Amino acid sequence: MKKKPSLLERTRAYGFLLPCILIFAIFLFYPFFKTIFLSLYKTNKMGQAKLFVGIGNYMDLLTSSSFYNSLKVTLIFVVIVVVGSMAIGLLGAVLCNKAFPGIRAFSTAYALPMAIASSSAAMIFKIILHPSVGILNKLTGLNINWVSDPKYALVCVAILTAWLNSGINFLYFSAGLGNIDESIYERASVDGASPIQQFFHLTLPGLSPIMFYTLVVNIIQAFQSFGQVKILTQGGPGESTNLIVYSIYRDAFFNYRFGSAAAQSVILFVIVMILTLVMFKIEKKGVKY
Amino acid sequence: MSTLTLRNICKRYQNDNYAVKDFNLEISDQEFIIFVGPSGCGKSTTLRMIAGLEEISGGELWIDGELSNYLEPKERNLSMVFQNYALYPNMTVYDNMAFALKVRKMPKKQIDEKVQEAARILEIEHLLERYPKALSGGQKQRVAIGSAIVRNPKLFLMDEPLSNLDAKLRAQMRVELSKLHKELGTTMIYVTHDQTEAMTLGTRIVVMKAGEVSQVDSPQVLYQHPVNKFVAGFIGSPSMNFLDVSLYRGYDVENQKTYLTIEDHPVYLLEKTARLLKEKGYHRSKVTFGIRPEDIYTEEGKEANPKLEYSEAMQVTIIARELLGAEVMLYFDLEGIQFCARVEPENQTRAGEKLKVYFDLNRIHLFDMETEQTLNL
Ligand SMILES: Nc1ncnc2c1ncn2[C@@H]1O[C@H](COP(=O)(O)OP(=O)(O)OP(=O)(O)O)[C@@H](O)[C@H]1O
Ligand SMILES: [Mg+2]
Repeated sequence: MKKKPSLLERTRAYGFLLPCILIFAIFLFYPFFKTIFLSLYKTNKMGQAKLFVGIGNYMDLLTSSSFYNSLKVTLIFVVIVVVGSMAIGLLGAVLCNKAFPGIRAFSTAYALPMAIASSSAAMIFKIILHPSVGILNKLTGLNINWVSDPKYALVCVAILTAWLNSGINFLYFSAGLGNIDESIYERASVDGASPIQQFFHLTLPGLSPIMFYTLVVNIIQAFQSFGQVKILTQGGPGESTNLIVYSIYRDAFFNYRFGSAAAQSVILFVIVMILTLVMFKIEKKGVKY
Repeated sequence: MSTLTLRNICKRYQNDNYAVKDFNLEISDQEFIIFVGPSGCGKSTTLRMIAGLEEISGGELWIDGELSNYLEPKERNLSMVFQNYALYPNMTVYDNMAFALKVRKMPKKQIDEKVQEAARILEIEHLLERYPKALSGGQKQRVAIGSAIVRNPKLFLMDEPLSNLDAKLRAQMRVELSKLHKELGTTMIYVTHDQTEAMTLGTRIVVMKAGEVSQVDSPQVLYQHPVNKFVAGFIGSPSMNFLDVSLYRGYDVENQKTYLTIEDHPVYLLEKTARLLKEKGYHRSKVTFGIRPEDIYTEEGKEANPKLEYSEAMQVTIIARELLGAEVMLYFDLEGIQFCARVEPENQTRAGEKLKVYFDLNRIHLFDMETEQTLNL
């Protein structure tokens, strides 16, 4: 029989946990519950809850075309970012998986976006995409106002974000490739598989465990993109790049509608939560080895 | 159906040492070649160079009369069993075995037949749906063999394919491999540490030492006429007994016969042996004497084989006795070196008892002490 831990022991255990709990409580739990609380109220300009409206804020959102636009834009954005950043990361990792002279320089280049702040990257892109002095138009000979044209603005921001997020993916995939036993490629080449067949039959399946994790992290990260929108497009032109996170920011700090912003936050949280849970469910079924 | 020629094949890694040096071998169609040698002597490296997995640093590799140094592995059309199995972890046993056929776009039905047949031979039919992670070492090894034999390549390369099986299964697989070789008639190169496999399977054995070929010959010749002390000691189990002795040429004893002494007993050499030694200029010098355990006879053994030529009786004290089923090993010291003799199982000599032993003079091996080359060949 195990003895029940004495009161002292139990208190001591909680004592050790206390700093952690405290920090979580202040920076995570309190804001979280406060957000839910605020989403049920109309607020004054100081962000203080003034009038209880129940699910009124949510009802407003669900009837607002602007919010639906935000959702749609966010969805397109997330798809482009996730696919793009994973593709770039994977490509870089596969290319850098062989030892060759200068490998370190290449690896650093591929991992670099990780170290760049999104806002400074956005500043650089702003110059690159500038309609008259930008190098992109200069090189391609096109005359497109990339970030001010509703057709291109979202794609531009998304590609920038994809590139920014690709750095960490490169690291994940490099680690994943490192885990694949080199000798199975030798056997495959003796077996007569071409490099492309080897990629699809061995490399991709070999990455599948880390692929899933990377996917989840990427989706969450993509939903939270903010800095690049703020600097590059401010949600415009029109509302073509008004991602939910940016819309929350605008509602809260420009329009002082904290209640609505809080409600959007909660909806964003729910969406990400559901997506994550669904993916974990799928993963459980898909695990093969 | 293929021939293979290795001409001065060398392998150097970044450091200047040769992993394989001046490997010369001519393999004709349908041969079963065995590579043996101590760990790290370059067996796998040679095999991998033939497969195209390792760059050949020097020399020429000819497959079917075609210079193949720079062919891609898949263009060589070989099939290989890797020392570490190299199974695809993301595929079931079935898919592992079918992979080489799938990438060659063989019809599904035909693939299935081949895989089932191989699985039956290797007794892994019940494992087909499993992933490699869920297999034991021996099972993995059989899957690896299966993946190789479903194909019909020019050449089989097998790197210690049976090393992880238990004795019974190993004997069984040995028979299967030999059968397979007869049926398919495909040329095989086979690496092993197992003496029995080497002696029974091979049409020729290549003995390697430190990256160089010591001797290439049929198992029989290799066993009876090793070219140097290394081959003599490496082939055969338990291995040959060695002793450094002095060679004399008697002036007053027995018609000037050449003899060597072991613990002050003279062992008179046969006339032909003496002549060979003399031709090579080895009288009155120190040489290494070697004799296999089964060429040492007791009194009873001697009487049972009256036709052989024996040395004078030598009195020894047995220090240990080992019963190995059908035979008995007796151990004794000569000049401080332990000797092993394989004697008939009826022999009841115990440790501590004295025994008279005789050497079969036709089976004595003599080696130069410096070069270790065989002198009486
Ligand atoms: N990549 C490498 N770089 C440097 N040296 C190597 C490399 N691979 C093998 N070697 C060396 O080459 C020599 C031959 O190795 P090899 O694997 O062919 O031995 P082996 O005969 O197959 O041994 P075993 O019976 O243990 O499998 C060894 O001394 C080994 O240390
Ligand atoms: Mg080896």
